[in-house]
Amino acid sequence: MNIHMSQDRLSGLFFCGVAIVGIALSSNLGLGTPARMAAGFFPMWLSVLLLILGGVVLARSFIQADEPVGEISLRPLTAVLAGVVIFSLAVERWGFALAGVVLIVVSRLAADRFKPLEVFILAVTLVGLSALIFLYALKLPLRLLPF
Amino acid sequence: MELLQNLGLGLAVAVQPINLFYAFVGTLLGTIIGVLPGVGPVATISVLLPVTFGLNPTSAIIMLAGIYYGAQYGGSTTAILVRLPGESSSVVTTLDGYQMARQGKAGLALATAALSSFLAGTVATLVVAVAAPILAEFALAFGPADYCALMIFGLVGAVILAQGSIIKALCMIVFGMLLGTIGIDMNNGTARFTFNISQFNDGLDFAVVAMGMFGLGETIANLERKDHVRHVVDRIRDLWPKPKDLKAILPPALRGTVLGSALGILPGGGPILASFSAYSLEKKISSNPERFGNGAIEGVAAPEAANNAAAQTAFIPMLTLGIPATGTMALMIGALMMQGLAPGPQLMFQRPELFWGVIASMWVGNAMLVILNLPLIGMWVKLLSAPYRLLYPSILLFCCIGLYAIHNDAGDVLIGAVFGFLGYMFYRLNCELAPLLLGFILGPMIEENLRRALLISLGDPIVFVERPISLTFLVMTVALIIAMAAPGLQSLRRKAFQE
Repeated sequence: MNIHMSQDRLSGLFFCGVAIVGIALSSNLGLGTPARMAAGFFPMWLSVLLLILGGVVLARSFIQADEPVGEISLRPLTAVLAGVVIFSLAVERWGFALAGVVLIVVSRLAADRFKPLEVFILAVTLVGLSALIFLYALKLPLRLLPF
Repeated sequence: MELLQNLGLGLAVAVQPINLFYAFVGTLLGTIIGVLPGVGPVATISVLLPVTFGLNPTSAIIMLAGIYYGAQYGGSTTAILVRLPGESSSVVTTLDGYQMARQGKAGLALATAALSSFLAGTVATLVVAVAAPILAEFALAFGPADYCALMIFGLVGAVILAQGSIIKALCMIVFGMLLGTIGIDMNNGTARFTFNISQFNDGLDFAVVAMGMFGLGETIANLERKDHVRHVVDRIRDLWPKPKDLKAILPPALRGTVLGSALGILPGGGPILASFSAYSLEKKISSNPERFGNGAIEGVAAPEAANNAAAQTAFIPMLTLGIPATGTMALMIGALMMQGLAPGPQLMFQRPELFWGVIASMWVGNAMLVILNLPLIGMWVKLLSAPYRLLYPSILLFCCIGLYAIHNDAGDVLIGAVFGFLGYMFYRLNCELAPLLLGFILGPMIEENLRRALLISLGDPIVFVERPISLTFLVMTVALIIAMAAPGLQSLRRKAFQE
């Protein structure tokens, strides 16, 4: 995926977007008075500040040329995040050992030279070692196996 | 006299077997990750935060501090041997260190780096021991308004001296502060920005943000870059310097130590700026500056001393004021807070054994590093060839276990993944992550102090300019902002980071 938009413009848009959401949500919380600040007071002013700063970044991107974001390689991004998400969904259902092995195998797809035997040995070694450290030495309350 | 007594107390704590053990684990880990390409101290400390929950606070900080300055050492090893700075603070060392290695003087360059760092570490430990109590004593007089002003000054200062775009760094600070407001407002019980996610009620966990952004986000960014081909110097001979070498090392190392100690205290100063400044100072005062870049021994001794000294004195504002000067210090504060300790001037008086134990352990740790680094150098060189495809799955696994371990909650792992994506996005947008972390840590403290200051003054903001301490900080902040906008400083700053 190639993003032609400049780094500054996208950053500016992101910060302004966050700021607008912040302003909208803070105004629902109530501002109070300076002497008795309500929950929305501080986040409201932060959001306004972020809108100004983000606006400057955005405006500057139209005046000054800036590097484009460029090529996003989806493989590392999706493989790593998918591995972590699967781990979080699986760890309590399938136990640590299985979830850990799946995490390593899936995330290992992010890089080149995927050799099944190497990946298998890596997964078993890492999961075994961390089970020893975290489950037995540090007594983390996690089940190793689903049964 | 009191100084000796305090240092004595600290040493007694630092040489307890358990603390010696954690100092060793920390420095060893630090050295390893300093050498390993693509694994930095910030990521490592984030990943290890949950492990420190089980330790007592003193041992926890001793270990984390060991990782931090151990990485500085390890980073210079790769800078010299393969011209690949393990950490950004050893970028300057590549200039002359690598040239020395190519001339067959790799051993001498490594010894210079290690001995200068040790000298700097020893002096800086003393600087911390002398300066910290004075500052803490002074800070006890601070009221809420003063704290507010100080923290704003710290945040703005940290941005100026950081790399990259200033305005984007400011955005990151404010975004970090906004993230810090998530959770139930302690003063009135209102839920803020929780979106009905139960994990958000107690606020976003610092460890989740740090681990997601640095552990996961940085890994994705690293995977995207192409692998560099490395050329490793095969054999290292003549490790121990001769007396005439020692004579050449000492003066620049001392100058670097002084400069580094001073710059380390400044917000955002830190090791990177210190090493750059020390290098340009040496070049300026040298009688034949053309030697620099061609293997000048001063070009290794001064910046290595400076970055180590600054790494150490950066603890002063962290330990005495509770103000982090760098991203790593923000992590240390996070670790202290998760242990239920409030960083600030009271820390030194309430927990003297922690305060002085950590300071004394820095010196102990520095001594360990010389032993770890010089005789075992061959082992570290072998680590350099460790392929990233075997390294990163272990980082991810540790991250996931760590995220889960914070509250034994699989939901935290999911939130961590979201921050992993954000971290990667910011990396690609060229927005630095450290300012976000500073804002996230300081945001809630600023809000609390602002609330108190305005409550006392009945809502009148004049309280910030009435108090001399607060006024001083605010004037300095405004001066910084004006200086930032001045074109002269901007070009100077650009030059400093380009060199």
